[in-house]
This record gives sequence, C-alpha cells and structure tokens, in this order.
Amino acid sequence: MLSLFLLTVTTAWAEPDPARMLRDDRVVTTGPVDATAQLGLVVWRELVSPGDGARCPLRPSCSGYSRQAVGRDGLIGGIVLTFDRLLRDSNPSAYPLAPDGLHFSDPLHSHMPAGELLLGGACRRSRADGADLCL
Amino acid sequence: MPLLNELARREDWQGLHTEAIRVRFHGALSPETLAEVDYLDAVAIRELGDPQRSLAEMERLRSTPGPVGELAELAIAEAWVGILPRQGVGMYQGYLTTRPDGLYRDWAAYQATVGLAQDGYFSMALTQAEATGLTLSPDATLMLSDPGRFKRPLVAAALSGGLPGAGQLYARQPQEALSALTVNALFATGMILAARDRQWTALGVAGFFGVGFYFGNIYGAADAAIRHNRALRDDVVRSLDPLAPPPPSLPERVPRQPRPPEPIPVELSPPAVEPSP
Repeated sequence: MLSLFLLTVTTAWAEPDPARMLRDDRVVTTGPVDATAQLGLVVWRELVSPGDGARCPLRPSCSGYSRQAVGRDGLIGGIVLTFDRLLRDSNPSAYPLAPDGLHFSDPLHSHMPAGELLLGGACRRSRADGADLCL
Repeated sequence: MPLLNELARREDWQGLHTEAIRVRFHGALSPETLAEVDYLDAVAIRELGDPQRSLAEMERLRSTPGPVGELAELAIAEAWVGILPRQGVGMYQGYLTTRPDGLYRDWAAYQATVGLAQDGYFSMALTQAEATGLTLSPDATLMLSDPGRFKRPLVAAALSGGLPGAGQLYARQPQEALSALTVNALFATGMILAARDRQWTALGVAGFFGVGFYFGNIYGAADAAIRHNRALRDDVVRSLDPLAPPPPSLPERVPRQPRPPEPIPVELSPPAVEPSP
C-alpha cells in the first residue's frame, strides 16, 4: 500500500515526459486521487490492452483520452467523458481521419469540460455575451 | 520594391526576409518605402513562424499613415482572431469605424462577419453584413437568420436523462442514439437481475458501469448537439466563402515612365528666294 501511495504521489508531481506527450497529446499531473485513476489507466494500457489488441478506432486511444480527461476535468468529469467516448467509438466514421490514415481523430479539446456542459455554464456565458449558440 | 512584391506573391518568405534586410542595409529609402519594406518583412517573419515578433512590428507600423498603417491594423486583427476571436472581430469593427474611407473596408467587413459567424454570433453577423453593405447569398441569409435549425445542448441532455439515446436522436445522431439505448438497457437489465438474485458484487460492478454509461449518455447527447451546431456553423461559414474579396495587399505603384526625349531645337532658315529676272 505504501509503495502504491508513493507511486501515486510521484506520478502526481512528476514532470511531463516528452516521449509520452508525443504519444498522448498531453500529459497531466494532478492530485493523488486523479493520479490513482491515471495509474489504473496506465496499468490497463501497458498490461491488459496489449493482450487484447488495438481495438479503439479513435485517436487518442480510449485509455489515452481517459487519462487526458481525468487530468483536465478531474475524476468525476473524466469518468463521464470516458463513458461518453466508449459510447461514441461505435460510430468512428463520424470523425475526421487521423494523420496516420488508419484511425479517426477525436481529440479531447474538441469536447467541452463535463461540468461546464452538463451544468450549462459555458452555454449560459456565451448566450449572455450575445451568441445564438453554444459552440 | 518590385522584387519584394514579387517574392511576397510567390510566398517565398525566406527570400523576402533576406531581401528586406538587404534593401534596408543598402538603400537610401524614403520613409514610405521603408514602411512598406518593414510591413512585407513583418509578414515574412509571421509566415516563417515568429508571430510575436511580427505582431510587435505590426503594432509599430500601425500608426504609419497610408496603406501600410491600415494593413498593419488588419494583420493585428487577424492575429487576434486566432487567439481570442471576439477581440479580433472587435478590431475589424474598430477599423471600419475609425477609417470610413479605408482602402480595405470590404475585407474588414467580410472578416468581421465571418469571425462572428464562426463563433456562433449569427444574428450579430447578419447585422454586421447588412450594416457594411455585404451582400449575402440567400442560403447564407437563411442560415444566419434561422436559429431554429440548431439544437440546444441542454434540451438534448434532458431528453437523454429521461430516455437514454433520445437526446442523441434529437441531435440527429441515430447511430449514437442506438448505441446509448442498447448499452444502458443492458446495464439496467444486469442491475435489476443482480438485485433480484441478491448478487451484491455483480450489482456493484454493473452499477458502476451502468451509472457511468448513463451520465456518459447525458453528456454525449449535449455534446452531439454541439457537434451538430458546429457542423451547421461550418456550412454557414462555407456559404460566405464566395463573398470573400481579394486579400489585402500593398497597392501597386504606377511604374515610372521614361521621360520622352526633349526635342532638339532646329533652326529652320527660310528658303532662299531666287530673285526673279
């Protein structure tokens, strides 16, 4: 347990790794709870997913997307965004082709933070500013 | 200057930058010509990947009288559109207000309209186009003036909260609607069966995934509405493409005509009149 805690804390305050940034688009370092969730995703990615084969048609991959989402929106928002992504990956052709030509591109930054969207904050702000739409 | 203009036309930015340095070093330039060289060099610097330095140079050139000052102002607005769209649009509008006889008013009006439409301010874009005399196609006018075609994210979320997949269907994403309905129905069934058989571990696992997929479905519905709106927004912006005036550039100077040769004064002596016999 202690080693797990230390690993979590180390992950939380670790410097971003450039090689990983290239692979994941973005690496985040957050608090211990989020870092634990990210650790679980790393375990999935490094140990479980290779045995199952590459199944995610979207890029970043579903676990990479999930790590980014937890980093950006926290644990709850990240979970919501992850399940949303899992529901959407059955329809990959709705997304533009990724630069590798084999997958489809669905970056995290094209989706609003879960809290902003579900509580309507982003939409309320843009409409108060005179926008006709929430984009 | 003709060489610099030619390099800019060919988009040879490295060549333009080098030539601008050479011209500045060697030539005794008038202030107007120097400002033009500086402007073209700032464009080259931006295209070579140093937008901050280019922006600083454009800020300096902004107060220059004549086309260079106007072009610098438009370049600053363009840079801001990429950073904060509303700020950039405000700068285009500022150009239109402060320069009633500006050389590039058409371009600024078009960019302000497109910038507003891109950010979802359709009624403002329509007003902007009308105020500046930009003639919109019937398609573009219809799209800008009919917000009913767009989907409200909160309505989509509420629908999916009631019945998983309903919001996605509202946002015209039938495949996602089917996926959300199926997955949520499966997990709901699993949870009910696990509770009936008092399988608490199975209920916990199904509950975690079931609740996750349920909220994911609500988020997905709102997100689908936004993606639908963005696709329509892109259609609106594309419909404005044919109205684009030619991009602003430095006005061509009238080439200096060679002076006509001065007539050589010829003294004509009157014809000799022969005396009559």
